[in-house]
Amino acid sequence: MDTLNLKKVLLLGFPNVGKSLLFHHLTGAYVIVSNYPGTTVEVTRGKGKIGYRDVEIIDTPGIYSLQGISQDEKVTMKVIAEEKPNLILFVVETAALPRTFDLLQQLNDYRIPSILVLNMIDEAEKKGISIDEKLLERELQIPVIRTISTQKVGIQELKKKMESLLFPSFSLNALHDTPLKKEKPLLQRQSAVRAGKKNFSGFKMRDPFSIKSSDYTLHQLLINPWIGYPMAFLLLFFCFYLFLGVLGAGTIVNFLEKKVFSEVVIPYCRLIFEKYVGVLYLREYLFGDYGLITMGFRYSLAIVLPIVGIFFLFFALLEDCGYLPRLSYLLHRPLRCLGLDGRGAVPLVMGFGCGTMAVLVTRLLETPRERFLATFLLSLGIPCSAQLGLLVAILAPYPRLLLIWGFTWGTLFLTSGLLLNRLYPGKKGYSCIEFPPLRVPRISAVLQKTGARMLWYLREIVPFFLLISVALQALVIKGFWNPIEEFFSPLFLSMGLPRETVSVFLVGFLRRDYAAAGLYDLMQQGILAPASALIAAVVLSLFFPCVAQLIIIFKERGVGQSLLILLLIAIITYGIGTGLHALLSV
Amino acid sequence: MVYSSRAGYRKASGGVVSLSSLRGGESGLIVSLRLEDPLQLERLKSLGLVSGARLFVERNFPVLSLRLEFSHIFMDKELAEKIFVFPFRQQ
Repeated sequence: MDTLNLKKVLLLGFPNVGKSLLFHHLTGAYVIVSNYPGTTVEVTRGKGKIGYRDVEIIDTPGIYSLQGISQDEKVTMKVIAEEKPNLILFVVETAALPRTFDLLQQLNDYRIPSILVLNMIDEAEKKGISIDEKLLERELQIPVIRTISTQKVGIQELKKKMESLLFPSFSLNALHDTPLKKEKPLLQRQSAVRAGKKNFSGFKMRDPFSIKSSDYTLHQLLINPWIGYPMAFLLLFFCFYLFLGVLGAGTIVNFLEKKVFSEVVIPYCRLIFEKYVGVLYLREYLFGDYGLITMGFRYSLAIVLPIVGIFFLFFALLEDCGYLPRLSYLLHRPLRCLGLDGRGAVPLVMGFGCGTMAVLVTRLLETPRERFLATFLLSLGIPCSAQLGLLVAILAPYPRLLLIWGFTWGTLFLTSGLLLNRLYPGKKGYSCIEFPPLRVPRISAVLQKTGARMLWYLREIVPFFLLISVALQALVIKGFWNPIEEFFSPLFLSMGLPRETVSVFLVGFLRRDYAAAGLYDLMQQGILAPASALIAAVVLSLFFPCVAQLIIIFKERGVGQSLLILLLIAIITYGIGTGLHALLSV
Repeated sequence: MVYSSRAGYRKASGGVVSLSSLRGGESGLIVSLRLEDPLQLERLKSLGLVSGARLFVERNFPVLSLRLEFSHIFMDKELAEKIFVFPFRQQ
């Protein structure tokens, strides 16, 4: 992307004010997300058209100040210093405008032309805030534009203003923008704001402590533990059992797997293959037990994708209506014991849908220590939607075993988390988390997010499944399966598991549900006694995450931490396996 | 000194108490924030937790949640213990 001679526009503001959506409205499809050299901070660049001319738009991470204390701030300051933007769009959440005055003042010192973008103006109006732009413009001495980025309101006016500042035409109109009165700029009257004056010049609001809107009451209900916890439980139950289980796994997967894949796609592929290719060697790789088409594609597209997709839909609904921070509030204290805080609820809940995406979501956590602990918990004990349904289905005929499994898994998970929190070095900070307003979820935003995540899954995850299915098929073809079984059987025997379970676990790297089904088969055949099946189920659910998640863990946490996580999981899993074996053979 | 009542404690400390001692429904004015970490102070400031800001405590249990003029947040008890407020009398 050639941006050498283009004018540069920088987007600046607190986190979660809608900068990214604004960025999306201003730029075309061509966007580059890159890490600023030497950091993990992401800077997004794109090309936009302002008045028939191309400009480069740069999006920065949300920052609270420009004092260079955090990584995000340092990078943003670097971007300003090195790239020398021609224009800065200062995006704020209108209802929180006074909070941003410090940052605005720091920005003033850079002497770069700016526009104050009052985003989320609809929410501010709901709170009873009224804005007089002309007055604010005079006070702050920068142009003010109101926008609602989620509804594309105000974007045209913003672009026009940007054009007038970036490519000023020499007209008499430019003269009348100078302030008539020599009033002390509002920023220097900050102390008036601090002392409690809510209403000043262009920003008027009701007494904030008298707000008793309907969403306030709903919020009160959600954070009340007597109501909140049962509600959260019901919500998750509704999500997993009804949505995921019945609708997702039952209806949709059934349809896709049986009607579409088994009856149409696979026979068709076979036909084409036999007609045009017919190479025996390839046939096994494509259509064998772990073949690319029969296993790789079928599993990832017909079975996991719909389940994960439904979970993403549900998650996006929760996200958009603002429920997640309320859940974080309820889970804050328990999560503190595990070394995280309320924010940790987000990746952990996501982990029940897709563990791989959840590991990516740990980026939201503030400290590296939290990210490590969260990744550990996700890898050890949080079963993704693909695993969960199947494991439950396998043990359902043995309700007592199911209960013991659930109990063992839960206790182990919590104990490991508690212990690791105690032993892993690093200080624990204090947290202060914001509640965004509750609102009716916007269907378009929810669908867009779900679609984006499903696309991500297709691009990033499916290739790994295809790869490992080919790898497993190769193992079968080359006859390495038996030697592998030989090698690991002593390990498994010491846990009381027959050597047949080795291949079941090997398959578990690709398909946890196949592994679970394999266990079921072994039980049916009498090779696996119920007690051993319990051990196998416990070990399987605590076992290493699927190959896609493993790769992402290595990418996100680095080799050292990832190996540590794997080592811990191996020790815990083996320990619990042998322990249970010893316990049950008494 | 023996504080036999909350009012007694308030009188003794000049009326200023730590935020963690306020209960649901009470409000107050932030007097000071006894924190050393400048990054934290900066973050709290941007949330509106600043000397002179009015706050209203929504709930104290299970976690302290409060409303400020321009934000709605919840925080750890350890953090609340380091924030000192002047409580308003109940109507």
